[in-house]
Amino acid sequence: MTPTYAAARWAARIDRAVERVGHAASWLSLVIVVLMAVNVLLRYAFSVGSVWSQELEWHLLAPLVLAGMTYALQQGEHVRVDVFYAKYSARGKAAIDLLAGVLAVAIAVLVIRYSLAYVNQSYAINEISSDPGGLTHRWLLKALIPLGFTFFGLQAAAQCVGAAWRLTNSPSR
Amino acid sequence: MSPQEWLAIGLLVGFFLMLMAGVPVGITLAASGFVFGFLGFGETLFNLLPARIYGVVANYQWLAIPLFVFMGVMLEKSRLAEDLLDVIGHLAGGLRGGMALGIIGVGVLMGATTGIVGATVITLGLLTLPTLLRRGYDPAITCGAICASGTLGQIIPPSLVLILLSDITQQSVGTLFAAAVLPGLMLAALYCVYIVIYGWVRPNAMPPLPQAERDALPRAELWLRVLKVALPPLALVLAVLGSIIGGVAAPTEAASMGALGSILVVAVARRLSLAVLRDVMRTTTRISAMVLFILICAQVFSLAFRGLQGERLIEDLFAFLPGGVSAEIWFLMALIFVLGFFLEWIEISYIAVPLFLPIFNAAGVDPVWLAMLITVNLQTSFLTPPFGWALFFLRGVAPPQITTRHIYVGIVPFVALQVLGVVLVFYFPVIATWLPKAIGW
Repeated sequence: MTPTYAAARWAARIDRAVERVGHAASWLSLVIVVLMAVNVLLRYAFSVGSVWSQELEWHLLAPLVLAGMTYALQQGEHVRVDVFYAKYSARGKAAIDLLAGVLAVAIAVLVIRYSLAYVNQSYAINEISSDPGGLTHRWLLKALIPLGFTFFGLQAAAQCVGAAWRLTNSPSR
Repeated sequence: MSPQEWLAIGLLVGFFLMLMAGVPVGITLAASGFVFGFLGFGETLFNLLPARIYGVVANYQWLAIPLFVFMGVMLEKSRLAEDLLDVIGHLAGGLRGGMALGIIGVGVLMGATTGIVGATVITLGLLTLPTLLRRGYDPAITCGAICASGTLGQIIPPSLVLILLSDITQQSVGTLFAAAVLPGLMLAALYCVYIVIYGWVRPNAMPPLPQAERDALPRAELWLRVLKVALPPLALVLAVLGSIIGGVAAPTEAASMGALGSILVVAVARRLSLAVLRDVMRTTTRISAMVLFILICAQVFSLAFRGLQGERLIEDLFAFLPGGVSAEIWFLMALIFVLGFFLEWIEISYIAVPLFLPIFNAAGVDPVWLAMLITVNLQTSFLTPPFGWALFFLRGVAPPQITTRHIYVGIVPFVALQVLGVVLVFYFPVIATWLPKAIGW
């Protein structure tokens, strides 16, 4: 097994995992819709409500976004200015993709680096919601930031492998 | 100039070069922010970063984004637009350009329900362009009308642009939603006037439905169809906007009711299935995460830009301008218009607008009015070649006999109408400020 082949297999495996996690996370959008609508209806119709169920609404946004941004990366959804990009040769596109991938890995590493201390601090003081009746274990929510960016960095690395392969294996014109 | 100011300029130039080369927007923002932040300050600057990211992803207000996206994507599946257009064509009777007016009407309604420009242009293009061409409409004006009314979604509330601008300008979402109603309708009215005049000057460009076909549908049945087709989306719009503007529900809550309502509308139309639901959830996740990822990355950029005192740089730039606040507003408008040729609304609203906002705040400019000028102006960024998204979207779904030239030629008068819209809002601020004041925001 050559190193190139191993890298390609590894990249494909990450790609599949990301897609699966993205599909799973997409259910959160429906959960948010239903949870919020139920909260609103209960409050207006029966004046029933709880702090924790309202806090849960935005607690679900974080996993949706932090898993979704990697899923969006895998699906090529992130917007770019493509007026020149669209005219590049296959190699040119691969070069820009490689640059974007390397930058994305670097960004992920930096965000993880800074956010670990932030999560630790929240864990150390056992941070909870400032509202009575709110959710506890705030550090778990905050831990989604380094976790989400780890995932993002892995997918970006996988796409670097793909871009590098295209860069070396496609005709220059 | 101080070394820091040079770095701030380097930040802007580096950002712009990477953006033009085709690196995705979010990555460009974060990468240029990190590089120049480190050069200027080293590590300390970014200790604040995790708290800022947390402020984006655990934010009650941003919940409105997945909810409104969900509602829009879901409604797209109900094929409302197709039925609406047909009914409006019949309603317009012998009037030339009746179906083109129908496109504008559908654009307004879809804008009021979805607020997603891409979805509206694609839907309108797929559903209406073949029909209108078959009916003998001129390709250029049809393309222009589709692109222009498809982009109305970004100004007619609820819209993602307004939600982002409310954050940038520190206004409540409800205020901006209320303020945008009249300017949005004004633009739609300008389009309609233009189409009616055009149909009058060039009768062959927009023939009405044939008499025989109109006679085949009795009046009573037509009105019944109008009721059946227009009622669900209208009810949804009224429920969502009414509860926001009337102050019954916060925008985010109203969005959740709209999203739930959209599921009901699609279910009533017998088009709800597990496959549709899955598709809607996945699209919602991708679009929402894409927008919020840009917001996350914008935090890095803004930390670096603020840290490097880029704001003072912009103030110095403005000090060169003669003519006081009015001239400064026009400078910003011209800048947004020109940037609109190259950048999209997300980039403009998160880069250009925050740079200039402190100056206008200090000068006491009404932020709601300014936000409306920006919004009307931003709409041109969807339409101006070479980077108008609306044009790409339409190009992607147009039948082969439509050339890029048709689209470019068709869009010119509508861009001119939008510039007219900016001028009107500038000289008559009441268009933007009356409704929010009247309902007491």
